[in-house]
Amino acid sequence: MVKSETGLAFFSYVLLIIFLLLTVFVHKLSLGWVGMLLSFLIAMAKAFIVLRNYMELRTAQRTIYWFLGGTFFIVYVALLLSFSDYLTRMPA
Amino acid sequence: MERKMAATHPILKRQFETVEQQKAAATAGMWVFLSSEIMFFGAIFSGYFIYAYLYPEVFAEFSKKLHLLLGSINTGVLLTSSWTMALAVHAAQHRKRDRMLIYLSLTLLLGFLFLGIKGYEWYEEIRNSHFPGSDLKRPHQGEMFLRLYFVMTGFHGLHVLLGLLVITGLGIYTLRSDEMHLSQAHFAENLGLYWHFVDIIWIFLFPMLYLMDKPRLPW
Repeated sequence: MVKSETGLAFFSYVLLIIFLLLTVFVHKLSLGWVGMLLSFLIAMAKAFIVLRNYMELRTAQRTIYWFLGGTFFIVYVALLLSFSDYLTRMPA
Repeated sequence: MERKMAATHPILKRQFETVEQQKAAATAGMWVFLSSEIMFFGAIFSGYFIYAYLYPEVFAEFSKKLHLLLGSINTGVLLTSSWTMALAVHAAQHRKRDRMLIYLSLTLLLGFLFLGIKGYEWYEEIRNSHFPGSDLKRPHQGEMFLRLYFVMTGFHGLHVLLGLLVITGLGIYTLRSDEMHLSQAHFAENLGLYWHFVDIIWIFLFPMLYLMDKPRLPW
């Protein structure tokens, strides 16, 4: 059991480092917005690996999913409100 | 019988029926704290995205002035510290005191290395007058990038420093105690959650600050 847990931790670490190298490689290609989008998608994949395997969300209680879901919803609303204001402003 | 045994467990607080229930409450409490931290950083990220959307050319230009190699190395250092912290938590869960201390020490070392590299970056930026208010001829948009850069990396660094202080505290407490207690294992688990959270924040800060590109299509 311990062996498989530490094995998963190592596997996750290798994946995270590969993703880091991939992020820098994508940036070096100078793809403009596409590159930025790819960098953020890779960052999300990295965050998912850390959440699932290191923070052990895969075995967490259901209540924690509710907390996290609620939090991200509030952050989403804050972003949406701020952006909707700036995006709809008429030029002076 | 089970309840009587549980009630006499040395680490059990009186408001809980079992040790498992106490641990679940502590973990949930940690997640509530992390949720408040997500909202804190979410507000700062929101501000950054708005300015990056309004002034993409200037943000890309100022992002290029940051030290990409040092930023990449620092990301690798923090990811490695997350791995050693995960190993420390596993060791704590299996009450392997010495192993936990080794992995905690490695995490501590990597955490200080991260702060050292970040400190050197700040030193170089300040030396090259690349900080807010250092050049009155600098465009206002560039000032905004620098302000956001120093605020975001500053708050993140503060979180890393706090984590390192708590890791040091847990390490000293574990060194002084002859054997590993269940409460220490639970504490290590929650500390691990905090450390991984700090890592996730940096995972997003790295592309936001160091990898901004000009808003053009690749073809």
